[in-house]
Amino acid sequence: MKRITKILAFCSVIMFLCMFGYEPVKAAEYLRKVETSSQLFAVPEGGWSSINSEVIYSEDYTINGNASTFISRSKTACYNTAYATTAPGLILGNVQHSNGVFYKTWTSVDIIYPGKWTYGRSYENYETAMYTATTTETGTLAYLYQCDGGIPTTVPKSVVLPLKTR
Amino acid sequence: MRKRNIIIGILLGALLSIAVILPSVAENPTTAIMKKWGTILLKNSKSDKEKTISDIVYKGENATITKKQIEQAVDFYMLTGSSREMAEEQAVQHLKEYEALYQEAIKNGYTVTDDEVRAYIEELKQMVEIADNKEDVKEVINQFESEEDYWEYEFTVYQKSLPIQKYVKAMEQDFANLTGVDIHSSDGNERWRENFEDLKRKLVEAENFSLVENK
Repeated sequence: MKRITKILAFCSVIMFLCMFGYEPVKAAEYLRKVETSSQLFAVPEGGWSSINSEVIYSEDYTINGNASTFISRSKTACYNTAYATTAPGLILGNVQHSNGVFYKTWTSVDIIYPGKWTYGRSYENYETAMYTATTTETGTLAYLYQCDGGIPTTVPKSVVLPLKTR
Repeated sequence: MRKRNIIIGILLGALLSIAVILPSVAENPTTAIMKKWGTILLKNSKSDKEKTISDIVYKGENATITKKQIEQAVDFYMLTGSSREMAEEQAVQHLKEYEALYQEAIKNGYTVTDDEVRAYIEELKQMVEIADNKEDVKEVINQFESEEDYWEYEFTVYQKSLPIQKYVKAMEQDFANLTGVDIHSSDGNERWRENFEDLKRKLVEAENFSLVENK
């Protein structure tokens, strides 16, 4: 009888927590933004050097109650170029959250990317950040198109990701 | 009273017009540069297309560089902010590399047919449409009498640039196969770029360009 009471009490606690919004820590989820863009650079012989790219910025997070803990982030770039002598390129920069925190330590990771791209690279950062699930903070991944000897020589670009998880 | 209201109305209308017109008149610097570049290309597209012996300024084993090519490239580098002296150096160096690469591409069989060039021009047109700087490219095109004239001019440019593009792509692949370097990675890509600079330097050396005496 005592055992049944204990089981009923345990079930009641679980039911109460489920009904009133307690959420256990979940496996990581992610926020992700993909930006596709193209740029042409004028070159001295009268033609163009070109670059087409897909840049992906993602943030992995876990939810605990009303808090999101961002546990890692990744930046990936896949691109194609066309040029005769003046080669364009893409440089992936750092991520900055709108509270001013920069994420500068990146580890290169192997990726498999679709065959339509000639180049691809990906990096991960494992620093943590915590915000409320309804935060208005954003993350910004800066990247740069570069074409030494072309017009323009550099084109700064960025991907902005709202960090609101609910 | 009525007169005063009319005057205020006119003044407000004028202010509103200025506020609407001003941002559209102010050009960004790249747009202004592209406009100038378009006029330079237009001028060169109209001058004689055939090289004559008196036009040749530099002569290599197989390659030649004309006065017109140098003038165009000097104008280009001056648009990027270089002084005339610096622009002349950059122009000659660039053209030596460009012409040496072209000779090497042709020697290695990377020729193109007119149909291939036309197909590439069609790709380029599509690229322009999706490019982030589409408006800048349009500024270059707009300096020509018609869009058709511009693409006709580009056809002549790519008759020479496309063999180089094909050759360079093949060289990049050869470099990856021979060295085992993953050119897709950041480091590998950097190593290919260094190798490409080295290749251009060697080809220019092999051409052994010399200044042609003006008669």
